[in-house]
Amino acid sequence: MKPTVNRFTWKIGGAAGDGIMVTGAILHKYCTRAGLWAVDYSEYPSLIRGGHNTQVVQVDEEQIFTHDQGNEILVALNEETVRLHAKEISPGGAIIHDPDRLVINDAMLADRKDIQLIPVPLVKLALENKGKDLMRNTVALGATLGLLDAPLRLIEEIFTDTFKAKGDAVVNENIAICRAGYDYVRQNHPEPFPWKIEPRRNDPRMVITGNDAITLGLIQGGLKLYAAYPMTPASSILTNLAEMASTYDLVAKHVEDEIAAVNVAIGASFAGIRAACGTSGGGFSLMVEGLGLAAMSETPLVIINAQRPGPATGLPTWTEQGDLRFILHAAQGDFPRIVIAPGDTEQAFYETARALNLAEQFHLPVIILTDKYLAEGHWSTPVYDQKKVLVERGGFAAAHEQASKEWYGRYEDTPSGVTPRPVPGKPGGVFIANSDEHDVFGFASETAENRLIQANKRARKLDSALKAMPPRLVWWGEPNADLTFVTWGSTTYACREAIRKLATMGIHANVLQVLYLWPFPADELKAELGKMKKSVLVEGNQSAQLHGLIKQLCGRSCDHEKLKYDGRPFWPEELVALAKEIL
Amino acid sequence: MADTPLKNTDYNSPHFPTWCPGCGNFGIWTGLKNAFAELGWKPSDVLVVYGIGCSGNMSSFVKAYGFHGLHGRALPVAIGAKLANKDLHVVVIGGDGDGYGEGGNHFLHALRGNVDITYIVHDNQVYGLTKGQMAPTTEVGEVTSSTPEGVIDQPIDPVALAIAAGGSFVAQAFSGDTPQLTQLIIEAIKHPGFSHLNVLQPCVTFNHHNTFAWFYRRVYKLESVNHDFSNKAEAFARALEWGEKIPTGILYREIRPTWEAKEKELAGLPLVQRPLDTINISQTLQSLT
Repeated sequence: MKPTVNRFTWKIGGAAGDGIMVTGAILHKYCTRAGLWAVDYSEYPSLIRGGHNTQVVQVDEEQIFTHDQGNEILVALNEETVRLHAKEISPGGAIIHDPDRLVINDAMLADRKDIQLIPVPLVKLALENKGKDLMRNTVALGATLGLLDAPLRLIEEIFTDTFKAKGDAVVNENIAICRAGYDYVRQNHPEPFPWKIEPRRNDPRMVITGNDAITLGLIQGGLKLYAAYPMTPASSILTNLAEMASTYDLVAKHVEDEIAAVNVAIGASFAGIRAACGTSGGGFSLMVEGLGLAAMSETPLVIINAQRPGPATGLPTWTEQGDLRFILHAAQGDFPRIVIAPGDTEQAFYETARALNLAEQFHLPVIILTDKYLAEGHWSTPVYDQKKVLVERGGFAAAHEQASKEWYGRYEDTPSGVTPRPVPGKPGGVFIANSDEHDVFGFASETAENRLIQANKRARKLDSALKAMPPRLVWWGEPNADLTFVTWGSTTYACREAIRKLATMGIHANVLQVLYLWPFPADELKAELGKMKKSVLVEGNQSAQLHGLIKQLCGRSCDHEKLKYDGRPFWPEELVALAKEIL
Repeated sequence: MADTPLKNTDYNSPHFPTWCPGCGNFGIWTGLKNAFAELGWKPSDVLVVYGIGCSGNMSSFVKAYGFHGLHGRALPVAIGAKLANKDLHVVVIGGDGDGYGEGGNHFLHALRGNVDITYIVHDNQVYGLTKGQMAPTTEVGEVTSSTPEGVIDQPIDPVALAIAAGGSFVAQAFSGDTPQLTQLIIEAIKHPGFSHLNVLQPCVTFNHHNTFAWFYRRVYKLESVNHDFSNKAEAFARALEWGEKIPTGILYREIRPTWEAKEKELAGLPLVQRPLDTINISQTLQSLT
């Protein structure tokens, strides 16, 4: 039988602290450098040590968007991995395990006879090659590559690039340990494996998480200060920026709480720089009053909210899209805001940079709404074109305008609603940014007449900002489909993967993603819904939050609805099954 | 610097204060403007960040760049502005409920961080704007509208707290002594680092215990007892004084590097002056391939 080339799913399972995420990331990079497309995703409990962690890497020659439930190679570092995941293995697939640490019996395999066991003395080989216990993962990586008949040359390059800063000894140790696993499998399990890797020539691609993409979007978009308090799954934006602060000439400040984070960002932005803060729903809850402050004082602000299942502490390390309505309505009173929900890492990069432009030009808060799946999953992706990111500064008073006025009418009414703002510290231009309702200079004012002028001026900015936004709806797939998935945020990935799979079955489906959730593209969406043959709304929350918005603002609804709120991202298989059922 | 010497009245806004006649806030308002004039700062040289309360209402009465933020949240706004433009003079005006109650966490961490801003707290030991409820500094047993049977909680000692939490400049003033208050504001502003000035400021409407007369009989100047403000233990002992004798003046001062000085990314031009058109992430993009 001819092997399946360049299409497989690999899974590793172990306890927290086993270092499995690093191993998956290296395999992902290997496959990307081999000219293939890949995605990876980790599931882990909120623990430092112990618990059950998994990482999945799925590989394909075509661009893929999310991983399947099944897998072909399972690296089992503990018994729990076998018990939980053996049932997901494809017929003919393999379990790599360390016979010195884990003996697998039939009961653990739930009587599956079509799985190959590949015992490899992972720890022994690591120790023999002067590695530590934990380096057994690198042995397992080598064993994986051996099983897939993949060239070792590429992994040597990756180890060299990854560890060269730590010296040749570390590079060589990793290569030797990986090779030990590779050679062991080649010698002891020479029978052909039904899946293999054959490198292809392709333009370079990156391996990147949503949080990495946001980090880079912030940097290229001109961010100079980021304030945050660590919270899963947003924390890596803070740690990324802290690591890169000196390279890119910016400040990443770990502050005492999220209330401080939002207020530090507002203060910095008020003083004239591009500033942002980021958190997850719990931290966003603390930022809410600050959101209103940015709106009332008309201070530019970008907030990143990486969702996880709530309420309260919820499922800290899992995924959900349950914050949409909260984000749209957070803080007392009516005020304009922009809410952008990237559906992939590219959108995360470009839209985050754009968010900094929109906030600065229109003096309002912009929220980037992601979730744990997008924030922490890795995707291979074309290298971003930084030339497409333009830092479009705007909304500032000209220096001579500022200097010519002792008191500056910072909140004077204008047709666009945007009043040029002075930068404090430059001559002239004195005004008060006020959380109280205020007159044109910022002095507290409680008259009915002024209240209406200011409230209307603020609201008008959102209409002005519309002209600077890209299309708020994004189509994926071919038009005139028999079924359209209507979705938002990271669930777009699962929908795109589903339509790719459906196409191979001869079913024509496509995806309509709502990229800008506020201002809500009601008219456009209403028109599109009217043209759809059949539609299904797919989102990761309990109360169909987007669907509710559609019903409310478009006066229409989708024909079907599929919701998920168990902390897991959508599986493409379940969307494929749903499509078949509907059609 | 202005060509002609600046005067107190150069910092008046078109609005006259709405505080109650006789309010201790008037003394602080006067002291602040005196200090600005003496320092030679033009109104556009300085940013005053205000909390919410009677103290924060000063935002409409002072001519300078102003940011009237949220209750308890003035400090982080001020810190953000200072980090964005380290050349900007930043002064924070807040109250005891605002800064020691709602914003207590920011106060603790601002003391640790030592960003070079000045924090002037109007401490009237009561909530004024919400009409007379208990403040974090209200004395035990005081009857207020939210504690009709008397306050149970021990009051915060702001200056002892500030010293214990790592403040590098901790001082106390009395709003009934404007000359001393003015000098202490100037000293606080000149201090390189986070300076905390607690101003005892009688509320003539809601606090009938800690009145001007009550304070006049108790306050004394630390310089009159040759207090050594570099001695932390001595400073702490003085800071704990309350009741028959209440110290005013600089309690504690130490020179240590500011947050801005230790953050190497802040060396050189202020962030606000750095160009945004030369950013190039190609090296990082390459490292991800």
